[in-house]
Amino acid sequence: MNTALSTRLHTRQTTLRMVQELLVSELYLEVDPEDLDPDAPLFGSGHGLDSIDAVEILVALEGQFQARLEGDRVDAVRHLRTVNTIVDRILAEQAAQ
Amino acid sequence: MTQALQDAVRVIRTGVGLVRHDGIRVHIFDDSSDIERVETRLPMDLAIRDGQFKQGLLLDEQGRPQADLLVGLIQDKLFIVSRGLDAESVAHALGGGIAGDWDIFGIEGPFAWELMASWDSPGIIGLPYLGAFSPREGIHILRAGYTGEYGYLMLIRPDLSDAEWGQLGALGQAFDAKEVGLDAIQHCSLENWVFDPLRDGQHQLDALELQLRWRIDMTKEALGVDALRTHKSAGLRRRITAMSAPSSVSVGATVRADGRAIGTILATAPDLEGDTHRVLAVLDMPYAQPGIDSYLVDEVPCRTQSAPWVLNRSLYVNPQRHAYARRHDVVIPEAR
Repeated sequence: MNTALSTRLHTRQTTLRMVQELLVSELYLEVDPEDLDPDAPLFGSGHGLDSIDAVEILVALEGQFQARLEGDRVDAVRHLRTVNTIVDRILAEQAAQ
Repeated sequence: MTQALQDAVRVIRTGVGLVRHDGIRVHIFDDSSDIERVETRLPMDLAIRDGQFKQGLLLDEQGRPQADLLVGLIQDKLFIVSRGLDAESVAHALGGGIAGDWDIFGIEGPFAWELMASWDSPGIIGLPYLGAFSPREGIHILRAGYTGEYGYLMLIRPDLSDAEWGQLGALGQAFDAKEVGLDAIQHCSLENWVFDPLRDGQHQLDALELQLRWRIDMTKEALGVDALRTHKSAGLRRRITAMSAPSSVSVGATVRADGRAIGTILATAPDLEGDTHRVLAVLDMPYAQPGIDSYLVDEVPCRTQSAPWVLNRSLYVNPQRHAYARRHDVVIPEAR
């Protein structure tokens, strides 16, 4: 695997793991972090979170990653769909800094 | 993609699509001992209230999904609504039971709730996702669908179905509702990362590889769960991943990175404009991450991405404020 690809995959995997661990700890989920399927819906079906959880997630992400997902509701709906979309947003914010 | 399929997908994505489902089985249990038996056979937590459903699976011994389930209680009867297996196979897996004779209608789209409100009453707007109720004798309504939009499944006794189908069509004229085919539902289901046992269940992947861990209670002793526990302990070696390609690629084609085979294409479909193709692949774990644009499939560059491929209008439609007649008021961010 070339170095650039390896670095990108590592960054992505590391951030994914951090987000999974944050969600499990902040929301007191009774699953192992790796059990949070990265592309499963967080709300409604999938992991079954609700709007209260959404607020908790936004606060926790801002605290740990300085990631502002709540810019407006339209954006928050997009960025909080799955664990992977949260990771997308965090990495985009970090790249923009 | 044919013009007819494009039109049907557009109806589902912007208004209301009406579909007569084929291949959905309904088993109903009302005896407590039957319900207890079925619970032990399902690989899911069945703690549900009356009027509530959950999404589940039927697994084979290796933990591979054989059927997609909606499992719930309506008036203390246990309903198993399944796709992917014939009625006898479902009954065998559940240890008994006979499939009821039901017609199944799907009402799917960002304004499906508005059609259902005119069919029943405005109170139906408050029905939560995966909620259910029986508005009339011989009719059960589940707030569930397969396209990522607002969706309802209507389970209806066959002797009532023609009249109710006609009623839905007549009321639907106010919302430009159209009958759509199952091909449109399948297309939208792929775009929205909705598990389809006939599409995703034929690749010998288990529930962990298919990112369906969330449907499994890993503490149960139901068929297939032990294999999943073993697999989890050993570590996952591959996982399904969403990709986009600028041109069509073939199902079964190999995904490569740096010349090395890292995965296989499982399903693909063009977007509405035909500009890009949605590609579902299974990739080796180190490579199964979104945001990578250096993979190749038969020399076609593919980019991995987070699922799903579409930003559903239903996410931005608020039944308290919006209506199909004022649908242009709905603010949708630009598609990515």
